[in-house]
Amino acid sequence: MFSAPTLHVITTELTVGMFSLSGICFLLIFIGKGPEVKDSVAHWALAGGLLATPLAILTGVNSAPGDGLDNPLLANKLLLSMSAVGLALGLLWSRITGGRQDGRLHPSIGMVSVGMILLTAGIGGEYVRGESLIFFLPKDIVLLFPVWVSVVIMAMGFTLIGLSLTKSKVTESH
Amino acid sequence: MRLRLIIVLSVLILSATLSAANPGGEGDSLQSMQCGGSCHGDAGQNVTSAAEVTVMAQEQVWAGLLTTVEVSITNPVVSNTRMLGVFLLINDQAAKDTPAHDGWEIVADPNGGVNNYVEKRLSRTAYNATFTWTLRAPTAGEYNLLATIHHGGAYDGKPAHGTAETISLNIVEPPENLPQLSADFTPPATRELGEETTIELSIVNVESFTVEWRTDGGTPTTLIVSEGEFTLPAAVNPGSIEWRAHLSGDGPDQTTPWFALIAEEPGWQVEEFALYMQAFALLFLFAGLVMSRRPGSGNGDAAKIPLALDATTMVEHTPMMAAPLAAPQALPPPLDATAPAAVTMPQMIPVPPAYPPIPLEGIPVGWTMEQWHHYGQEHLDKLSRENNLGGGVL
Repeated sequence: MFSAPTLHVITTELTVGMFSLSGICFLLIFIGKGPEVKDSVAHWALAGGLLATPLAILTGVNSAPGDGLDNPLLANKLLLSMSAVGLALGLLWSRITGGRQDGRLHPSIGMVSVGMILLTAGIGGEYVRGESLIFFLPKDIVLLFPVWVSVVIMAMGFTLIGLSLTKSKVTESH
Repeated sequence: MRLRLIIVLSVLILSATLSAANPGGEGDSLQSMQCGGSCHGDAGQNVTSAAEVTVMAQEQVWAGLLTTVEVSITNPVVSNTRMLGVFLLINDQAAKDTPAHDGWEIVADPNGGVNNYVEKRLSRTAYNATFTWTLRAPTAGEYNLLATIHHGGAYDGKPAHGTAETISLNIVEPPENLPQLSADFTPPATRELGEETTIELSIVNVESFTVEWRTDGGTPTTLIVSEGEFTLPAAVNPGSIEWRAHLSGDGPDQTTPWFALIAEEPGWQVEEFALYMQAFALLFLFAGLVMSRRPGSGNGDAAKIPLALDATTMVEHTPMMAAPLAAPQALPPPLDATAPAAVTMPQMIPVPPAYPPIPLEGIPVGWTMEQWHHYGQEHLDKLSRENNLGGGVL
């Protein structure tokens, strides 16, 4: 039998490793260096990291001491990881539907997404071991919106996603 | 550039300190010795702590009743985190060594939990520390207790480990008429700041009792007992107070051990529904924002992200190779050496980018045309140098 903390180590290694690889490739795309395959690697590694992220979250919840979200670090981990997943999903969708993306905006968003995942992992290390290289960030402050604000934001997100899907279908039909 | 990168990476690697322990601790838990989170099994990976560790218990311990065990640590040289971990154990075999293995029940540990391994951060001015466990004794018999500690400190990054002398306890059955706390009474171990604590003692064979309390190591103060209840004053700051009861009845008078009551700041709380709503709202918002942005001149040639790139197909699609050869341009008329040279102004003619010529054997395997455009000339130069060198030798 494996305990949840052991599985959490495995799944976080998987997640962080894939996101890191993706981040390096996005960096190469951003600076215009490196082999041509960097675009494929960046997006496939991002997809792999996305697949491994739910496993990391589930095992992390099971291995965390205490009940529920009783620490601001855990709350910030949740917000950061979900934001990063949103960015990564958007990137992959753009790449799949729009083909290879030129310019620096696309890799920049990829690097931001990867950075947020790495920050999430760093906060996890601080939660467990009490030490962190990113000590200068106010990680014990949680910016919590009222529920109605979250509902509005979620509605905006759904609208944007819906418009994008509609536009994509229209483009395909043409 | 590469040299700078190597230097930066080397500096980063060399700047990391070597440590064999978990500086932030592992948290309170039920643990066997040596398993508090650091790999202390290898003798070469740890050192003996300079601290003196002592275990103290009550002289008379009754079977099935509450008692306290104190672990006193003198002069621990701890690390900058001031973290100190203490184990309460029944032997030093590192297996089946928790108090529960002998039938002890941990009612309260020094941090208010029910663990045999606890960690505390010592204050900067503290040179000694005392850890107190409240236990319910097992059945009558001879029992051993000991304590071990581990901590970081000025030991070249190695964890330090210390062990107390084992003490023996002779636990006997209590007299039938012994005034005592009932078996189901469990003293509260923690409370929040600013709130008084009212306790109703559950007692057996007791005609009257008094209660006193004290701050840690302070002078005891007697409390008023009314209808079997007493109230401990509220705590202003985080810390602990202790209380005990003097029980009188038909049997010999008894005094309970000092029970610690730890005052803690209220735990961090958040409305989880709002937090989850916000998390999913951010997910959808960021996904929508990225999806709806104007595509950065995506070429739209790849509905799927390719698993790998085929250099051959890329070469075939390269205009330099695939485009039909242009019709040969008519040669200019031969120059008439006798005719006077016409003086004409030079004209600016657009020149295509000067890509290196592709040799007969083709571009190197695995290269793309983009790579060839950038590094082809370098490759040709290298081949030329090698050919020249080979010719010279042969």
